[in-house]
Amino acid sequence: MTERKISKHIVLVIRILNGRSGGAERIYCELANFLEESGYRVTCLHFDSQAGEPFYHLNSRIERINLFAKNSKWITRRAAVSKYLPNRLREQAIWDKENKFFVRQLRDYFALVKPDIAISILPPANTPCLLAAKGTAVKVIPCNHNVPEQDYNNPNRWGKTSLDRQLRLRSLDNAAAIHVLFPDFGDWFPRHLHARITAIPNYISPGIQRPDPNPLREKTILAVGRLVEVKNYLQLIRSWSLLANDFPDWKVKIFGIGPQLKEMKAEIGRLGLNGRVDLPGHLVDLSGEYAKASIFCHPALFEGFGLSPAEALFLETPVLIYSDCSGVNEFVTDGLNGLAVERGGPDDNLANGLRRLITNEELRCSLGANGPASVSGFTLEKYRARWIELIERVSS
Amino acid sequence: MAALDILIPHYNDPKGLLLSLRSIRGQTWAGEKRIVVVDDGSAEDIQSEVKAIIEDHRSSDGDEPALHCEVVFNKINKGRPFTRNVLLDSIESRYVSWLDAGDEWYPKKLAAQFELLEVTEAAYNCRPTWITCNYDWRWSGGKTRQNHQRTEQDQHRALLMGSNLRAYLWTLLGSAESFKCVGYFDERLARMQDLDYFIRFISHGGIIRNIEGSHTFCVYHKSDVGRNADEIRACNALIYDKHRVIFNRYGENFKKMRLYNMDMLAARFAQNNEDSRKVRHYLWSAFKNRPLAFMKHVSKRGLSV
Repeated sequence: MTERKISKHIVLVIRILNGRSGGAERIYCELANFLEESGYRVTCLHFDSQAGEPFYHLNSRIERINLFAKNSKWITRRAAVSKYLPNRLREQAIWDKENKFFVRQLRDYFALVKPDIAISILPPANTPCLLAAKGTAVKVIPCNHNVPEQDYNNPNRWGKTSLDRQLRLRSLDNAAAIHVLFPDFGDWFPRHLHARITAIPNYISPGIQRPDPNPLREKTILAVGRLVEVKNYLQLIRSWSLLANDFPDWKVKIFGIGPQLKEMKAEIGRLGLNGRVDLPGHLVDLSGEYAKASIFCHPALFEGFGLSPAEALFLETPVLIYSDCSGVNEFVTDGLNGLAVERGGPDDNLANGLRRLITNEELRCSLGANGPASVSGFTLEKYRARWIELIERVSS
Repeated sequence: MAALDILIPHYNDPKGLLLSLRSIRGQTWAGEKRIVVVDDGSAEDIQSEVKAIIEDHRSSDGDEPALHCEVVFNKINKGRPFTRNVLLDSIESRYVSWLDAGDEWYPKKLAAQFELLEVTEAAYNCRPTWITCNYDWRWSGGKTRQNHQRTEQDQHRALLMGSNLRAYLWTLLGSAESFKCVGYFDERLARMQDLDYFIRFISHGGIIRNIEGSHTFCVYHKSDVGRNADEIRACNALIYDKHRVIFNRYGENFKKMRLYNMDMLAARFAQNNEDSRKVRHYLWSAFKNRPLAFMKHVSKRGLSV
């Protein structure tokens, strides 16, 4: 019998996993699967109040433990009366209700099972994980899947208390390395953390394939993403309303589902755009849609990593964005592979950008042709190699 | 390739091995079986006996068919979990079942389990699935007691409680992958490695199902003699630490009760091995954990465990 190899034990921590179909959950499951395939022992820890299964496939060789349990009566009661407490105590009570048991569970796991590395995904897991690892030998890599200013400063994202925002940033002092999506994102963090920043961008799914043969481009302006405020699709509908009469053979298609669907339908009706803006819902394989569209429009306010614009560029579709949209302006360059217009000002610059692309087929073709090279760094192979390199560096 | 590997760890118990092999021969399930016995460094004369028993079963005996048997000898005694890991490495067939030398299957065990496995695998698609079964406990020189495995409940909790879903590997049938996905047995656990393995199986997304009805399909010849109470308690302590986050999920009372039960179990082993000092030690520890539960026990059964 051969000697059994002892693999490094990597723990992946996320707050909510069961039934969630978001991008972060997809990255989480794919990261777990590929680390297991690469020979690591992988355990997924999550904190779900609901029983269920992950939306994305997790290899059965991966251990998955839900750490959730109800809080003690004391913590629940204190949170219930927190509105009568002074601000500092109120915030502490709310924070404890959300996090204290999660931190305790992680601390027990780290102290007793002693994994080599913990990789946490998104701030609601990053802070508890970093706090729990303090004083243990476990090395934590928190992952930031959005632009840091939004994840750390926006009071409307994640934990709503100022205590949570303070802890989010302060706990990074315990990190062995800090993951960001683009090197520029690292500049936002305090200087003493800069040496620990590692940029690993996401990747274009190998499932996105160039149709063979390439279909003819249709007179379609395509958008893909969750129908939420931050994607700013209402602006696209409004800008299109200024152009629709001038280009009667063009239409807008917005793929995705989300809470803004009703509002978007109402806006389409109000502006008389029924039949000129389609909302076809969710589609698993969008390769054909990217390859058929003439323009990809992504008016988002901000992004961590704009996956859909990257996929559009991979399939030679020129992209129109606002120039201040982080996570997309990292790889969409005005005049090279798309147009980046100014947000604000007296004119509707998005409508102007669309008009420029609609009326100039030669420009569309030349911008589209530069697309694939501009996203050639976002491959699964490079993503995997970067993670393995980071894990080996941190654990050595 | 056979359809089923039957994996048997053996140590210094050739009579028990013979009993187990006879029960395999008696199975009504007609699929092709491959039996792998790993002897864990038994005494030399016993190894010779094991070789002879295996050789006997390789040839047909009257109406009874020959068995496809393989045997591996550990050079020295390395313990049950190591031996089970050697068996895990030996898996070749699509399905796997386990049997400890000395325990027996009743004739319909495999047939009933395969019938359910087929339905369950289709229903649960790719999820790892184990089929368990009800079983008898037969204390040496004592009565037989039927035990029913209840699988329609929170299986983590039920395994930790250990009253109506017990972690006995020899009750199981599953695909080879369903065992391989859990990984190796923990070699630090000289005892109770089954429980650790079952808990990990559930954490790997596995599901356990039981054959409907009240029939029992195998028998465990149970004896505490020669088993060290301290070793049992230490293994329980390790399991408690390894799976603390799962224990934590069920609350403080649950944990205290489990610690109480661990002490009472160690006390039972000490009592059956006539070590009164250790009996007192573990009873006192149990009393400290759950005084009321202990007093209730004493009022019913005295200080007998």
